[in-house]
Amino acid sequence: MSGRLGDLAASALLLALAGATCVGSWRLGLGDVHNPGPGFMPLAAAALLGLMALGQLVRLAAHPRGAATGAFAQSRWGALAIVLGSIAAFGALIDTLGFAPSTFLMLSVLFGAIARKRWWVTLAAALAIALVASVAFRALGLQLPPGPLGL
Amino acid sequence: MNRFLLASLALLMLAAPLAADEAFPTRPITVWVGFPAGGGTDILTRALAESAEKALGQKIVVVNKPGASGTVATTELTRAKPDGYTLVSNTDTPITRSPHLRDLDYDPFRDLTPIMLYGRYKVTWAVREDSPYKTWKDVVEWAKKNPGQLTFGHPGVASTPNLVLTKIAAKEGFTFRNVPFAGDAPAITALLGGHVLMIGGSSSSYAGYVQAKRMRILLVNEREGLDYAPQALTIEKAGYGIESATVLVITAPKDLPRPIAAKLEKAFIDATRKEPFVGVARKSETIIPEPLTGAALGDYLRKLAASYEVLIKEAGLYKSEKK
Amino acid sequence: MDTFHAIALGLGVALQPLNLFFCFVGVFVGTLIGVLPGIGPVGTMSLLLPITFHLSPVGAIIMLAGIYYGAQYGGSTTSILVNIPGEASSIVTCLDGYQMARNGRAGPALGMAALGSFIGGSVAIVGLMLLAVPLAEAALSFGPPEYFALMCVSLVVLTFLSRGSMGKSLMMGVLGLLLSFVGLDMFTSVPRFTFGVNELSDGIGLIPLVMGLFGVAEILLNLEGEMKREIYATRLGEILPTARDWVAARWSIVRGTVIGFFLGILPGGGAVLASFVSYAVERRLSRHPERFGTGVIEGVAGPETANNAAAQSSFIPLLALGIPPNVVRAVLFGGLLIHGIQPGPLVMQQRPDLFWGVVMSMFVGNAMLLALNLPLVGMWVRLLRVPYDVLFPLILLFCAIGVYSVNNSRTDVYLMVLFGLVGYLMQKLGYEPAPLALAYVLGPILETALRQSLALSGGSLSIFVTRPISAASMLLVVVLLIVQLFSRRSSPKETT
Repeated sequence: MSGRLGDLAASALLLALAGATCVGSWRLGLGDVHNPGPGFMPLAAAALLGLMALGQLVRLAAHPRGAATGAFAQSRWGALAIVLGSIAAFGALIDTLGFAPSTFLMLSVLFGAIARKRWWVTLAAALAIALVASVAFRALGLQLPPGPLGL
Repeated sequence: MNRFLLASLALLMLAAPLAADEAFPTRPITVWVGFPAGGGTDILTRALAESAEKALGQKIVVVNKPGASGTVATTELTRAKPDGYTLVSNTDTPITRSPHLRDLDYDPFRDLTPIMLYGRYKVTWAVREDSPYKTWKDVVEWAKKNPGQLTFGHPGVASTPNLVLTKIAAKEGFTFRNVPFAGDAPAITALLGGHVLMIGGSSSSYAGYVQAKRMRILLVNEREGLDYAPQALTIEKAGYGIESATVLVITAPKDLPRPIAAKLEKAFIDATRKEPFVGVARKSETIIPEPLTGAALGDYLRKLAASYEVLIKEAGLYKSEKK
Repeated sequence: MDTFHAIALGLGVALQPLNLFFCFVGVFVGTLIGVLPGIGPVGTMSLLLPITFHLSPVGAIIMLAGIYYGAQYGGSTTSILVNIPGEASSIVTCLDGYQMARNGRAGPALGMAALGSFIGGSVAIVGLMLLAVPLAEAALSFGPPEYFALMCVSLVVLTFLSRGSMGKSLMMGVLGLLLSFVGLDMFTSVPRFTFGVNELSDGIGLIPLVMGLFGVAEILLNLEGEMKREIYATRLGEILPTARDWVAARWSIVRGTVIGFFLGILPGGGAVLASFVSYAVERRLSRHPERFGTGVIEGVAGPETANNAAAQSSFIPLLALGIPPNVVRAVLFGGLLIHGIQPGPLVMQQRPDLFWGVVMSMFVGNAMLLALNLPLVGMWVRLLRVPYDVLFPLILLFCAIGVYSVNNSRTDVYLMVLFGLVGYLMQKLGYEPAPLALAYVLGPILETALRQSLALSGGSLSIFVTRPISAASMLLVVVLLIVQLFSRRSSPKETT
């Protein structure tokens, strides 16, 4: 169901990650079994992961089964990027713009670009929610940055 | 005419910051605590903040930014504006010890303005009440006869109890096994369960157990000893001559204008004499030292950092020696 | 003093109008905090600490404690409604709870979680009253070698949780371990895998990890279909668990209570362990294990009961010995200190009114929470009927606020975004997030315990088998592995 190509890619990626971690752990210093250093456990775990990923790859190569692709047929990459980007922007801006303006921006993007509401509904809703949330969360004791507008 | 205008503008621009200084503070001040909520540093900071609010005439908001013994908060402080509205309350660790352990994103003396030293922890070493060691001498004697058998729990390899004990062991000629824990509480648990023979940490965490007769304090680092364990040996009386201190400091970003710094210093000095800070400090066995501020504090911290550098190097923890 | 006397004293304190008020404030605020994903009780508790300077110590502790277990109740709500664990001990609730919500059975899931929590919590309090001191002493005998052994057992138990491919779940578990090593090494202060990013010095953080992997990823997955469609099926008329649910879940609740009570006493991580051990046990003992993961009531009742029982019994080390087993308790510890009460073995004797008053108020608090949460179930169910394209931005906002406010750090927000993407890719390719998250919680304890044990023994590995508890646990690991291998042989070959 997840597609052979996807499985291969995932296993390869995990193998690569495990390998890189092994190298990094080794550089941290392993100590020995009686006196483990900072790299000991990470190496053990990374080696285990690498072996398992290798096992997966071997099994996939030896017994081809199932559809070649299909995992991401339905993916809407554009929408994904916008959603993730808007959350990241919230994080980037909250300290400089303050909580309410950042919230307003994030919600505007989400309501407007993804949910595809009409522009004035989007802006009005985003503004209202931003202001309400700003008051409510602070009342609960959260310390949200005020930003230049004091919001 | 134009020159006159220009001159007035220039004067105004010069005067504006001064005027701002006069008015400081005009909005709430934020103090970041580099340690988790509920811990000793956090509680003392909150008590101090509450005591200082009146003197400053503005609310002080305490926010926890825990991480890596206070270095996360300190690093962020160096990126904040030096306007007096952002401060950090920490132990001395990010300034006097962390720089020797690893590479940091800040220079503790160039990138910070020290404001005030407001507390000092008493560091103690203790065993279980039913252990055969009744005095510090007993422990040392036993450790000498049984090299490497003394299991010692502590709140961190760079913590005062561990560093000082390493030095004591070198002077007395014994070896021990150090077992790090994530704080005083897990170490106490391990001691009570009999998994380690001795632990070291701040006296405020141990007081209740001594009173309940579950623990016995053998050594304390402060000259005045401990109220609740008067028989405990002090480092001074033991003749070790090791200076160690764990202190609490308020710092600001570098280049903080002197007038603002002076206001903050005065306010915090006053706060250390008022409730609820005094009460909380007393109950947690935290020493309220003579006020030390500004440049004098900077010098003190430099000396402390140097002495810790020695201790850390002797313990083999110095950053350049690690692979 | 004898138990009857103690209860009477305690009730006398707990039922005073002022203390009832504090209790209510505590549990109410705690519920709100718990429902908001990521925003833990610690921030609120520490904010309220200064207010407690001015309150009586009993009132202060009652309120702070109420916030804590109130948050536990609230945490399960988000797990069930939007697949976002309110805290580590609610991760397992997502597995079946969220599926129940998708099947239109959010009401029964929420109701069962609340009721199971109440039962588990109340029984645990009784246990606490009767057995506090001996249990606390027993818990003390768990030292680093015992913890290491226990973690090994837990990791094996994790394999019992996987719904799909065992191999993939195992790999996610190991990946979770690896992620937990990011940060400063506790023993040497050496930065591991932080890539120079200062904020990673304390590790990635459970909240960004979990909110990304579970919450954000779920929303990304739901973006694919027609957004206006009903993500949650509706089944009118089922606001609370049905009689059939009770019949199915009754033994899960009993088992969950026992598991939670005993595991919660261990300082550090008890509630999380209790939750997934309970899930694993329920799945193993069930007559239809393959239905776990599709929305089975036992998968909610067991873990929720267990984690609440554990939350209550974790007060035992604090009250009986004065040892705060985790950060939350540390705040309570601090609260006690402020009032000049040195938490420790003497509290029970010196201030019996405080001790028993707090214990009794836990009963009161649990009852209040039930009264608060059950009527709310109807409200939550109605909330789910909001069209998803309006709902998901709000969910994301809550996630963003929640994750930011833990450390006031924007890096945490970025991490959540990263793990949201990772979680999306993972689920698309058939990898499960739960083993990763749970292993992430266990990893630090595992490594710390190993290195502490070796420091204790001077490097000798025999310490793990010469001590009775750890030797028995190691044996259990072997037994469980054999059980798993055999059950895999007999079950149909699953697709890789």
